[in-house]
Amino acid sequence: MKRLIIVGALAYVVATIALSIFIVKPPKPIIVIKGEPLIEVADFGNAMLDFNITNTLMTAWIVTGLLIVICFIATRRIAMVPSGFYNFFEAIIEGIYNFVVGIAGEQNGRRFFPLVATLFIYITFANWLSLTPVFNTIGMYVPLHAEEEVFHDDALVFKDSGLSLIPFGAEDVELEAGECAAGAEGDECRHHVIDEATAGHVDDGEKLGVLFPYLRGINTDLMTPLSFALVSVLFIQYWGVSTLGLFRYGAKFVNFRSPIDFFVGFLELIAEFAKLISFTFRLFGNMLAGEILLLAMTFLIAVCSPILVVFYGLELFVGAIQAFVFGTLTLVFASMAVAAHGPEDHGEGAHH
Amino acid sequence: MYILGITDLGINLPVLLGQILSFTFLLIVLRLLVYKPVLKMLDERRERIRSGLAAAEQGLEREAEARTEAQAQLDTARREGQAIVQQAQQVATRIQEEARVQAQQQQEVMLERARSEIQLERDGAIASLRNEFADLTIAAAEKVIGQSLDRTAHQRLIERALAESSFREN
Repeated sequence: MKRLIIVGALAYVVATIALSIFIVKPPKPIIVIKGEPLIEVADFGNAMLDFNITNTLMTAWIVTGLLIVICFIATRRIAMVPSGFYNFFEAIIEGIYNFVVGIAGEQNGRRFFPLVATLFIYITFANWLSLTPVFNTIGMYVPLHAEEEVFHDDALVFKDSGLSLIPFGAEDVELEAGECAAGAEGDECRHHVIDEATAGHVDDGEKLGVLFPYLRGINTDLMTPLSFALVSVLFIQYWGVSTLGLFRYGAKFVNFRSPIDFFVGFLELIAEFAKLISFTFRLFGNMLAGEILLLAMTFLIAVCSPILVVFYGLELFVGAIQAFVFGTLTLVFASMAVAAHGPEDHGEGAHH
Repeated sequence: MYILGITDLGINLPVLLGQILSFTFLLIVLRLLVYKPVLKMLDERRERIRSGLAAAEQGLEREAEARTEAQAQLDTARREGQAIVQQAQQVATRIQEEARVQAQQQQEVMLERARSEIQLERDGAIASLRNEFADLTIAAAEKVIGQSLDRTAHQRLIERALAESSFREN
């Protein structure tokens, strides 16, 4: 019996792989780092200032809305004797609270708790939600343009009408635009490349383009982790100043007592910016890598396979761990910021 | 080949602001909707459990106290009860004894009285019988002799005869 199960499972794995290789072959995934613009709001002619509602921003709003609805439903039945969904919800909140108080102490823990809990809940929820099948699959079909800031090296052949999903067996086309110059000078050259590719691969009723998915994992766009990091670091500075006072907290960075202290202060200042960057790129890198991993795996094995389940499980784990790391680091940095520095109360600062 | 510039990372101010606003909004809403009420509830529950446990402890102590006190009272009551019963028994015995003695005494008094009454009756009966007998004797003697005798002389004679006879008092 046991042997039969093992043989069956192996046969299933082999069958899914064979099916993916020979029958349902998806096109190669096109990986884009920045959030794809869905709706254009304001165009200032500068990539850093143009306001487009990107799919990551839209997803962030949707996730925020969903989270608020869930919290609203959960806290409707707040009761001395908890039951049902509220009980589960309260257990999570209490777990986070006990963790925060355990690290930062009762008094500071209460101040840090809202930010740490929100970071943890929001990032986990968004990461887990981005593993659902609606993410990265349904979207807006965008024909190729030569004038874009990022010219796609790869494109897909789409049906001109119908639902914007990447179809099985869609042809992927590589565009040889490497010879063209950057900016406006190369536009002519890129037009030529597109025309050539279109003539070579596209039949009637088909077009060459890329899919901009409506929903994309929010942390796969650099702007989202950066926004969390900015809020987090700003809160840390605020707590530091409000606890120690502007001059005592500032003395950590600008100190004229001795040249060594001055230099240490300078390093501390750099460390604050390093926090910002490490916060941002840790989360961004992990989540983007996870997304690329899943895209690559689903490209290799397109049907439901135990191998894919393993990778989805891994991403479930990474999504929660990264949220936990983000929240915990915020908590630890905040605890360090409110701890007194300097020789006058070294004893108090020594516990942290 | 395409060389990645910083814009290819998607650095974009409005989107960044949008994300910050979105996160800040969520932070504020969760603080009002979740953290404040839930933490308040947790605090209240903790306080209630603490006071409940303390009250239970106190209750147990008080109960133990009450039990020992009740036991002590019960013991005293039992002892007192026993004493009262014993006393009552003593009293009853004494009363019984007294009643018996009194009854006996009364009985004796009544017996004595009855005896003396009988004596008196008998004396009276004897005296009247004697008079009766004397009169009868005189009458009989008159009949026999046919003559009247001097009453006082006769009386004397009869007395003498009676004194000589065995019919005497006691």
